[in-house]
Amino acid sequence: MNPVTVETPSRSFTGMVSGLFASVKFAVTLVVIITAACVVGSVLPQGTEVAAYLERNPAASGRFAVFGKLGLTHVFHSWWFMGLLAVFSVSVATCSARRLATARRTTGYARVRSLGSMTTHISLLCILAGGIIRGMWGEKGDIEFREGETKGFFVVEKGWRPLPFALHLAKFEIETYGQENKPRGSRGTGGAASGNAVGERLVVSWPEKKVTADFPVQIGIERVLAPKDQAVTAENSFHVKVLQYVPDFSVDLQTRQVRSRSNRPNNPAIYVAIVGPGYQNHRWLFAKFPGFNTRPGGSPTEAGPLTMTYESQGGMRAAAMPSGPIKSFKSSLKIVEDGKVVRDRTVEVNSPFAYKGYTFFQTGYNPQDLTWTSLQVVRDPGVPIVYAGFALMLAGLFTVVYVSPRMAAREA
Amino acid sequence: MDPDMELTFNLSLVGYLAASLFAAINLFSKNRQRLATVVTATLIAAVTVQTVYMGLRWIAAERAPFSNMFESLVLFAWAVVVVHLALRIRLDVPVLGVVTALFAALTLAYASTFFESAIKPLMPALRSNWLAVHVFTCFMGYGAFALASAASVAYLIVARAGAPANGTAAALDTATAKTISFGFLFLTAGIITGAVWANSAWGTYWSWDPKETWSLITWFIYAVFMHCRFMRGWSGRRAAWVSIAGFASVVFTYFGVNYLLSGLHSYAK
Ligand code: HEM
Repeated sequence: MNPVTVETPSRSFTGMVSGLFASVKFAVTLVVIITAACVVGSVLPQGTEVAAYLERNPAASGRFAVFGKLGLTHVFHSWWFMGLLAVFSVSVATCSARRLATARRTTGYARVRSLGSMTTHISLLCILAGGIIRGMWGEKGDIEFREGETKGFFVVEKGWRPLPFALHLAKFEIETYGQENKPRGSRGTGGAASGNAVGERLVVSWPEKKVTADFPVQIGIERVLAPKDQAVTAENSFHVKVLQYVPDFSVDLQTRQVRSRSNRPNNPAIYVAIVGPGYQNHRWLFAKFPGFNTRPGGSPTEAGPLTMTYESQGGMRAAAMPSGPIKSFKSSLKIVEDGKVVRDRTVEVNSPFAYKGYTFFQTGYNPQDLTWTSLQVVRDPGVPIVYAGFALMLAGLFTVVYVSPRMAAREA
Repeated sequence: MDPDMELTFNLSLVGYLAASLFAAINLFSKNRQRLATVVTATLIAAVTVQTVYMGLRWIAAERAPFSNMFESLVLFAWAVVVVHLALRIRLDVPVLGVVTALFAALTLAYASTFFESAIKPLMPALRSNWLAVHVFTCFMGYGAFALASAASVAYLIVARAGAPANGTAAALDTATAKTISFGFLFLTAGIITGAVWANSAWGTYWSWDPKETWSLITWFIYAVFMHCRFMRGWSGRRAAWVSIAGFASVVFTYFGVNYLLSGLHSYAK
């Protein structure tokens, strides 16, 4: 490619102004200034980073007060950066208009090249216009909900905005590597009312009356142990209730509180309440240490009238969090309008769902409560224009660096 | 590493070393034409084996192998060689053959020595086909810019040593401009695919994070190069310095942002 001569600006005032704005020298100067601004904006702490930075370096606070006034702590949202982009837009627009004249005058590869360069410059205007539209009419916020909840609004920085429809979260799932096809285990913390897994059993026997029973472990459900063929009375029955489950029992040394060291069933234990004739007790039972029953404080219990064993095959709630590195998380959503479900879609990371101008992105989960999820909601009417700009830019540049030189080579 | 993968990786490394040797001899030989063919053939063989390696890794990982430092360095080496072979500059400037082959060999050696090569599962945000397109286009651009800056450095050396009307210097100057045009197109595509990906993953195509900002800075520097070179007729030393500044920005975007800026920011937090 050979250097192309640039038109000399005309003598009139508007001609001179537009000549200045359209000149390559001006363009280059402007781009260099914007580049310098970008360097400053990426090196100095910006926005919310500033407070944290000053906490570490209190001595810098004087300097940062000045930086703040100059807009150097929020470069990309400052009036002067917007001003630079505005001048940039005007400059690109004038030079594009002038290119049109060049394109008219020239033929062959030179014309193709002018058109390519014009397309490239116009694409910059599209992208900037799309950004302005987003800034003026775009909305961005979050929706947080639990399975089964329906929301008709989303939370933005200052308050909330209504949605023109309602969004229902039918189901939230976390998928990990190595267990894609297996259903997720039951989940939630140990306090939930029911829930059981196959193989979790509580075997209770009352030697005096020669009765034994084998109950599935279910939290909060009272079981009755009484001799067969007899009416249950206070005198001939024991009531047993599982109050709590921890997958990995340990006692916090400071607080003496029972806690779970992990979500894995390394040391599954259940806490059981027992009430019977002349006897009342609470105790921890350990699947791995059948003989070792303890009181809440950790002291061993005296042998009561019952023998109890907790039999576990892998723990009742295998894990609150599925094990393994997380692969994806997904929300099954339903769009509800006028009381009817009009759309049914699953969103996951990198696979959002758009409806009536609003797009929902899977963003967060809570390892403590796997029925909870957060979605980002975005409405950006500028996106089609920005994308059109992207397409024009690629087409224009391809023309300038590939199509036109090939034509030139062929014409030569 | 799986034995087939290890074999192909090592073979391509050996191939690049051999190509470096031939290319270096070529610089001082009388029969340039014949040796140049040998250099090109060796490079083609090595890059083919490397492509097989990357294909095996792609199959084993069930995704494009472009997602961590090791994989991106391997891709960087590959891109430099492919750009070198794709552009006609290799015919005009033998010194770039040495640079290309040596760069590829050293990058592969560096990657396998200092970075973990085990295949790791991807975190949710990276599981997208855009990842492959985005990283591939960016690295084709980086490969071109690496060659351009090598040509520029060579130009500065040759132009200082030689007479003004030096044939090699002129060829290097042209090579710089050609590779930058090519790289600019790919970098543009890389930034755009990154923006489209960000928009499909988070609903924001641009958020001024340091990596994004630095890729834009790089892009601006090369836009300045394009305008100065093709509109104002800059060439020689001035153009060479802009090209070198551009590649410094590439390197900073690739390594520096991770280690310096995020370091600064994490220090601030
Ligand atoms: C940073 C974003 C910009 C990019 C990516 C860009 C890209 C290009 C490209 C690819 C060319 C064609 C080079 C060639 O024909 O070899 C060009 C030419 C040109 N650019 Fe830009 N440009 C940018 C900003 C600007 C600005 C802000 C101006 C403002 C005046 C400008 C003015 C010009 C002019 C006057 C030409 C010569 C056009 C022709 O003869 O066809 N550019 N630009």
